Amino acid sequence: MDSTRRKFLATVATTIAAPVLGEASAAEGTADTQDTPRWVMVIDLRKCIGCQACTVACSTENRVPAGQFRTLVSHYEVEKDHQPRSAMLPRLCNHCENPPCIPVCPVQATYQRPDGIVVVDNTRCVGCAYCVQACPYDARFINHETKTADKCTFCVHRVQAGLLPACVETCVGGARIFGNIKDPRSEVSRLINSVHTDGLQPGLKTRPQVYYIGLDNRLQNKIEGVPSPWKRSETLVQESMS
Amino acid sequence: MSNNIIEIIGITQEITWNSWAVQYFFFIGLSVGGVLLAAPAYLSRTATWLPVARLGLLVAITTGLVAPVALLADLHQPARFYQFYLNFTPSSWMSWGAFLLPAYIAALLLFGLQGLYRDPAGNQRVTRMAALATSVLGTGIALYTGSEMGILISRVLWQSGWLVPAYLLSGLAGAIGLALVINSLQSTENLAHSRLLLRWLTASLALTGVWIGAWAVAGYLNLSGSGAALLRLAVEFRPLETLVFWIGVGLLLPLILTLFNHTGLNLMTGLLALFGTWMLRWVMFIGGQGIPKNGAGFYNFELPLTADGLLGILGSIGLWLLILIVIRSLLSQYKQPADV
Repeated sequence: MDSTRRKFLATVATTIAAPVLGEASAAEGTADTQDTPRWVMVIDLRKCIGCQACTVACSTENRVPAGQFRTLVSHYEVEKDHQPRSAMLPRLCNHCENPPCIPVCPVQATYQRPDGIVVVDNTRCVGCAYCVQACPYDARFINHETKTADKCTFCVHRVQAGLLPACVETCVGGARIFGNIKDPRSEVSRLINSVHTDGLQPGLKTRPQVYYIGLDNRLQNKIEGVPSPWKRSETLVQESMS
Repeated sequence: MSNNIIEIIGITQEITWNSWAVQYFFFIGLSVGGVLLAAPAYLSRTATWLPVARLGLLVAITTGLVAPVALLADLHQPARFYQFYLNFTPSSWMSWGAFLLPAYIAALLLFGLQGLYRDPAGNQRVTRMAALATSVLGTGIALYTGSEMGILISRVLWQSGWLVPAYLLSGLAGAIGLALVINSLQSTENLAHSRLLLRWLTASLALTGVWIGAWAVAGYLNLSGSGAALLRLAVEFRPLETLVFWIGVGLLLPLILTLFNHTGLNLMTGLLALFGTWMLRWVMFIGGQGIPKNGAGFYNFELPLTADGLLGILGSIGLWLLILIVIRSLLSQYKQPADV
């Protein structure tokens, strides 16, 4: 058992009461007290090798339909010191402190739990996709099977059972670290306090709670570059060929 | 476009507000435009304007009845529409719209009943009240439809106060165009009405063009982020579709045709103005969602031929035609209207 998991389990054991771990639903959550954790993720891009193990683990764990993703590692070739080099950027819901997806939902099907996790009640969701439009991180989509909004939940069902999110559990290089930012002894707190971290699209003031270590600032906002061949438009293909 | 970043793995985000959303914004825009055409005449009782106002009212009702159908079809879970009414959310423009829309349609139907069927013999005070209520609720519809998109920080193109007037002006142009089409297709086209409609169409198309132009200029001068995105959409991403179809065929061509003032061209002029109204919304919705929030390049959209695409577009137009035929038949059966 590595130190991250050990600390995580210790946090869960000491900060979440047994009834919460048991039958409490996402809707019920817990009161926002000092003892309630605030779950965040730190992604150390220096360790990410772009293997997509997290992508596969997430899709398997959450039964995400083929072709749709709750998390995905975007892969870029960037120029640095006149040399090409690979840059990875795992993307997922940022469980923002100021989530723009929540106030727009016309039926209050999406909400933030006291522990910071943003979830969707897909028995209420009407599939209007307003939240999909509102999310600046493209973290949401309309699930082809349920016809409702879908997104990363930090594997809330696993977290409530004292487990790590599937993507963190499976990460080969240990690049994804999950924990309680309110606990100063947690690995995420230690990293955030000791290493420079960045969030995506900081100008939008959504206060994302996924912290990246080693993020190339050219990847922080909308990417201005040559698009992936999978989605390249004819115009851009012509441009890049000329 | 910077070439020192190459995206190796990235996925195309799906267009989730698709052709049904475009159809909703198209029909509701025409409906509000029709109310703009009709309500002032009924409120002021201007005799020369009233016959044309009746055409406007017919446009408002027929398109207003199609709009909610298109909106429901745009939901991925349409059978759960009742959730809107169980969970009013003041922070969501869409939630306000869910309450505004039925209120608007109810007021519009009352306005239509009074204006097209009962007015001369009936109580003109009720007609005025209905016209006023429909105008107020129609203003609410115009405000919410534009603001629904305008508040989204995630899409620079939409995040703009320019949208509400753009939709309103182009909706008015489309409604006048549709009134011109209906007038042209009547067994005896009323040329005086056509001339009046053509004058208004010239003005509304010119205003729409000036507004869109000002929006783009504001973007060019770095005064508007959404204007810059609009320019980029037009110039970099979809030059052919955007410039030729929308501005050329939908805006400039009908504007030129109105200046010819030739009776034989009225039908074509009206149809082109309608196309321009539709195309503006298509460009805003489909083009706007094509600009990635995070990824590189542009997401292309291929219109499916099924009910989610072309069939849906044709079906909603067919539904409008059916409603027009039913209302015209009812009016001609129970009343001999002079101008409608």
